[in-house]
Amino acid sequence: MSLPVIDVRGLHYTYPDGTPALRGIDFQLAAGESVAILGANGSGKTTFLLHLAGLIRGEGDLRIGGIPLSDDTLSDVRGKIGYVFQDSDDQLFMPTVLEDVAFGPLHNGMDPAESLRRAHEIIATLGITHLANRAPYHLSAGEKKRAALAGVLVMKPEVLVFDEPTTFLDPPGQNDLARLLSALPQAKLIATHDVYFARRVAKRAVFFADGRIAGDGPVEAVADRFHWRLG
Amino acid sequence: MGHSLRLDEWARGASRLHRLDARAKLIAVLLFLIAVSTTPPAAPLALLPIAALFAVALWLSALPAAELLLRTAIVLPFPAFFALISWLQNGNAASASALVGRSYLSALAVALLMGVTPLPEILRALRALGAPAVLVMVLQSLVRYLQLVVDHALRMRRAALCRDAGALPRRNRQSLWHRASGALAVLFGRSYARAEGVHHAMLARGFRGDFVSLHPAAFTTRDWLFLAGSSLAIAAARLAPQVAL
Amino acid sequence: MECMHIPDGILSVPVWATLNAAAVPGVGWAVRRARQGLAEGHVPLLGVMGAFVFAAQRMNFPVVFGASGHLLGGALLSMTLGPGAATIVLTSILILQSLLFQDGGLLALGANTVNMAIIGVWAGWLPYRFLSNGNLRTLGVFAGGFLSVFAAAAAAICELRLSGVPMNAAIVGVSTAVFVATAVLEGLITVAVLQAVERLNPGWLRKPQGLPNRSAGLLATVSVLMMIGGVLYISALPDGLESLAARLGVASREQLLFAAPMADYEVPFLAGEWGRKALGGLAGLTIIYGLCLTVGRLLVRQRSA
Repeated sequence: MSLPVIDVRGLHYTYPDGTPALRGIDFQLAAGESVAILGANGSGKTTFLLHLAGLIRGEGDLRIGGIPLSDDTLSDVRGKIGYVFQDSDDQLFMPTVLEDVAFGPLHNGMDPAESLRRAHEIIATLGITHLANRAPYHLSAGEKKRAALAGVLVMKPEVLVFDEPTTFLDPPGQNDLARLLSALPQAKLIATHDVYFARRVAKRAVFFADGRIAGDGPVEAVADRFHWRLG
Repeated sequence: MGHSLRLDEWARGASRLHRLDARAKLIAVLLFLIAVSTTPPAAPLALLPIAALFAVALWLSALPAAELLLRTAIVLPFPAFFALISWLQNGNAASASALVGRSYLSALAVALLMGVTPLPEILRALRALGAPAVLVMVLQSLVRYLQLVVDHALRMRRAALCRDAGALPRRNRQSLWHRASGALAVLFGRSYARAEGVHHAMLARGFRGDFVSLHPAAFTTRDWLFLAGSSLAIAAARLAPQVAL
Repeated sequence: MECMHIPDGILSVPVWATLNAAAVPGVGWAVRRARQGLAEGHVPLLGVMGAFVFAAQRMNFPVVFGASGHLLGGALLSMTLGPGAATIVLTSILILQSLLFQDGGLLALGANTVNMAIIGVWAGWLPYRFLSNGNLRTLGVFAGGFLSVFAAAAAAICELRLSGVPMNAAIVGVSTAVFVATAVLEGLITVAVLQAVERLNPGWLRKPQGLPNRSAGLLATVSVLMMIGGVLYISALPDGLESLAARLGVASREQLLFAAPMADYEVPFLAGEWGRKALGGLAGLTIIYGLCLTVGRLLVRQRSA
C-alpha cells in the first residue's frame, strides 16, 4: 500500500480552559479513500479536522501527504488540505463568488490573471458560471456550498475535508452534493450526522466519542454498533 | 437600509454610465464635489450649470430620476437646519439656499455614483487608487457580513418578542435595559465567533497576513474619454457664471 | 449620531481639505498600530465588528416617556479591540455610511473621521486606559462612553463654526445640551453592554498594560472635558474662532498653503477668489492623495523589512 495521505499518531489537544478535547487519536487515510466521521456533538470531530489544516495545534505526530506538520511546513500542508467549512458564509468572505474562488491562488503567489483564469475554469466545472459575479449573500445554501467547494478545489488539494456538509441543505441539495462528492477523485474526510449521506459518499467510517476513536469499519457496521440511526 | 438596497439593485443596470470603469466615475464625482464645494457661499444661481450637468448624467444613467431625487432628500434636514439658523440670524436667504443646494447636489452625485456602480467595484477602485489594503479588506468584510449580522439581530428581536407575547405592555424599564444590553453582548459574541470562523477559512486557503488584490481591468479609451469630457464639463459649468458676469 | 455626520456643501474648502489631510496620517498610524496588535492579520474581526456596530445602532434602549436611544459604539470598540483597531472600524463605517446612505459627505469624510474615528475613539479610550484596573473602573467606562460622543460633537461644532456657519451662544448652548444628553446615554449604554460582554467572556475586553493610575485617569478625563469646554466656549463667542485663528496664524497659513502654489499662474479667468479656491481644493486633494500613497508605501516597506 502506498503512503497514507493523512497519518495521525497520538494526537492530544486540551482547550485553553483546561477541558480535554482529543485524547490520543490514531488515524490513517489512504490516497483516494473516503471516510465518514460520525459521533456526537462535542465528541471532537471538528477539533480533529481543524488540526489537519494546522488551524489548531495540539501534541502528537501529524503528517499530511508525507509532510510532518510544523511551523515551517504550515503553508505546504494547507495547500494539500482542502477544507470545506460547516458554515459556507464563513468561507465565502469576498464580495463576489469569482473573487472568492480566486482568493486562494492569489494568496499563494499566483499572478492575478492566472488566478482568475483558474477560478473561471473551476467555476465552469462545477456548473456555477452564472453565479460568478453574484454576492454570496444572495445565493441559496446549495449554491453557497458549491461556491465554497470551488474555492477549495481551485487549490488542487490532495485531501478534501468536509465539516457537516449537509447542514442547511434541503434533500435535493443533499442529493446534488452526494453526487458531486462521489465524482471527485480526491481522498475525502467527511464529518456528518447523516448516516444515509455518509453511506452514499464513503465506505469506511470512524466513530468519535470523548475525544477518542471508538470504532472504525464499514459505515453500516459502525452505525449499527453505536446505534447511530434515526427511528 | 432600503435606500442602499435600491441603489444596489440599480447598480446592476447596463447604461453607458454603468459600463464605465469605477475609478473614472469616482474621480469624476470627486471633481464634481469640489466644483460644488467651491461655488461662492451666497450665490445659489452659480449652482445651476452644475445642477444641469448632474441632470445630464442622471439622464445618461437611465435610473428612475424622481425616485433618486426623493430618496436622497433624506439628507436635507441637516443643511436645512443650518440654513434656517443662518437665515434667521443674517436674513440672508441667498446664502441659506446656496447651502441647502450645495449639500443636496453633493449627496445626489454620490447617490448617482452608487446607482451606476456596484459597491465591490468601488472598493476595488479605492484599492487601485492607493487606499491601504487593510482598510479595503475591512470594508469588504464589513459589507459582506453586515446583512448577516443584522439578520441575526432581527431574529434575536423576534425571539424576544415571542417570549413577551401576552406579557404586560408596560414593562419595567430596568429589565428592558438589562435585556437590550444582554442581547447586544450576545450579538457581540456571535460576531466574534463569526470572525473566528472567517479567519480560519482565510488561513486554510493560504492567507498569511498580506493582501493581494485583483486590480480592476485596464482603463479603456472610453474611460479616458469620459474622464476628460466630464472634467472639462465640470470645469466649464463651474466657471461659466464667473465668465458671464 | 446622525446629527454628527457632516454632509458635503457646508464645510469651507480650507476646513475640509485640512481635515482630510489630517485624517490620512491618523488612519495610517491606526492601521500600523492595529497590525501589530492583531494575530496573523486577523482582519475579518474588524470587518465583522463593524457590521456588529451597524446592527447595534438599530437596537433601542428605552430612556424616558417612550423615547429611546442607541449605542454609537466608538468607546465600546476601543475598549474591546483597542483604539487603533477601533479607528479603522469606525473609519470603514463612515466610508460606507457616506457611500451607501449619503450620511456624511465624501469631501467631509476627513472631518467626520477626525471627529468620530480619531478624537472620539481616543477620548473614549483614555479614561478606560487609566481607570479600568482600579475600583473606579465603572466610572472609567462611563467617562469613556460620555467623552467619545461629547468630544466628537464639540469638534464638529468647531469645524462648522470655522466654516462660517453662523452660530450664536444660544445655538451652541442648545446643541451642547443635546450632545450632553446623547453623551450621558452613550456612557450608560457602554457601561451596560461592556459589563454584559465581560460576563460572557472576560477575554473580549482589552486589558490595558501597566498599573492602574487613578490620578492619570481622572486627569485625562478632566483635561479632555476642559478642552471640549474651551472649544465650545470659543465657538459660542461672536467671531471667536476667526480671531483665534488669526492670532495663531492658522488662517494665513491656510491661505499660503492653498493659494501660494497658484499665485504665479495668473491666468485671467483663474484670477478670482473662486478660481483660487477651486485650484486650492484640487491641490489639497492631490496632496492628500500623495500622502495616502506615501503612507501606504512606508507601511509596506516597514512590514517587509
